[in-house]
Amino acid sequence: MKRILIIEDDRFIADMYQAKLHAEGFLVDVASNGRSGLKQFDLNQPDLVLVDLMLPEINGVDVIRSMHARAGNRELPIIVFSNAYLGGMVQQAWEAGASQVLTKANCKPGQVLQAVKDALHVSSSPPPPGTAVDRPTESGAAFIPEISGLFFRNFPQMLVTLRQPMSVLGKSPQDASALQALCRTVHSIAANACLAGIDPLAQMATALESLLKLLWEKPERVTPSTVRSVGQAIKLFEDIAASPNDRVLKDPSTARVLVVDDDEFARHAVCSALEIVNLTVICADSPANALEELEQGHFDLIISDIEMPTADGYSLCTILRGVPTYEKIPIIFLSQHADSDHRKESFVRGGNDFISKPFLYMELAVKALSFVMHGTGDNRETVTPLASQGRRRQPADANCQIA
Amino acid sequence: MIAKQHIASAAEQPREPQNSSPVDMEIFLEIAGNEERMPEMAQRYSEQAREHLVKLQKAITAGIAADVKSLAHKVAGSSAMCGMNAMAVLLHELERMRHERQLADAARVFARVEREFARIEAFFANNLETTNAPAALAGIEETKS
Repeated sequence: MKRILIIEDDRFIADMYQAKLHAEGFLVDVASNGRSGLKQFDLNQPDLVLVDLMLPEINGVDVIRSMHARAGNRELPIIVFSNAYLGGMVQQAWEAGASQVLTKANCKPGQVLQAVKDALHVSSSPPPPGTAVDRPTESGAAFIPEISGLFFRNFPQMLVTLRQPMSVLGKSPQDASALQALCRTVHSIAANACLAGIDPLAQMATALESLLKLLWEKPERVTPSTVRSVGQAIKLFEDIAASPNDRVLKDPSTARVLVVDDDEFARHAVCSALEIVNLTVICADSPANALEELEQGHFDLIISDIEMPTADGYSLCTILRGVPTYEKIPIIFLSQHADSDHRKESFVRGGNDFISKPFLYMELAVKALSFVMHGTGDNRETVTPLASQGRRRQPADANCQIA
Repeated sequence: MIAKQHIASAAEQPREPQNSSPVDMEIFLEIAGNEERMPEMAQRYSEQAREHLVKLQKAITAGIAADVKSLAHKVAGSSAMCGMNAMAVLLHELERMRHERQLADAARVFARVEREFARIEAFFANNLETTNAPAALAGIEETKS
């Protein structure tokens, strides 16, 4: 019987995979952090390891390195669970010797089981006698409703654990412990939402986790703006938890964002940031061109520079607030000036939010996702399918692309 | 109180950080997307900035404050997005000169902008393979004479 070691700090996920793999005829050991994972590895040499990259104490990359050092020449498949936006860490995992990297947000349990079987070159085995676990389907869809119910029961408690570190961050924005605590809880929300099949929420949590990880590693990048953006994302979670049955999250993949900036470097940066989270972006280099775009198709969010040569972003905002279709559309103002006067004025002039240049790509991505999913300017009945909208930004789009 | 005011005033003055890197490479790498695209991005920034700095110098010489403000704002924006923080700070100082009577000091600030731009060009020439620093500087030098 093949032996599998799961190293995963989220108890629910670890238990779920343990049960599913056991039902498939595997022997399964579970460790909740990198240190105990390595101990378990020495105690019962596994045939395959499933490891989460974001682990407490010793991260997944270091665990993989240590295991390869211990395994010597022995073939050891290591399957890694990763966040879709942690490209650098995934690269390190490959270099450390990972055999396969599975993105949590896109990976259903059935796919994980199949990856395990493929790596071990085994077909399905009969479950041990007395196992009460249902056989998974190919996609794992059979147990999604059950997990989804459990997720929404546990979600409010997860959010409670975010309050204390958020409160610390309000007073001490660069507090490493608070950033780490937030990162770990959001990591857990992302993984569980994914398992439960709540894909937009999983995407939002995954993006927020990436932002928090970046801030935790580089506390010098923490600003009042980044703390506010984190708070907005958590507020979205709280709204969802408060009325999970009423709230229909807008799928970000169907959202369109209009970017208005006369500076091509800024347009390029905003587009790059939003494309990290797969938002469809259309660019305009002036308010006049923005109005043309707005006449041609529906948008869910506008990100606009304030100072532009022919007309400013405030004028565009004033016009849109008088148009029924766009009177409530969220508008995020971009400015080179980070001071509170510019920030206050942007709100007075009708903006919903403000971010100063240069910004962290992941911060803008999280902020945009928060607004798009909240659907403040929602006009669902006017949203046509993405395919008929065309204009999904391609590399050749001269407005967005530099050079 | 006077001492405090003096410190605040000194802190607001744009510094010319000769010893620090003129380009925050973390930000520049982010906007370039990857290391391979950095030379291309550097060249694009240089060309655009050079073009606007030529116009900016003419506007200063002609004493047209509105043009000084808008051109300085434009280059400051690109510079900030590309991680050229000291350059952006100097240009913001020019941008604040909203009225003709405030332009008296503009030539002095512009000279500092030029020096900072030269530092950026030299940095790219030394750290990236394909930028053309001498040619980039020549554009501004020519307009001076």
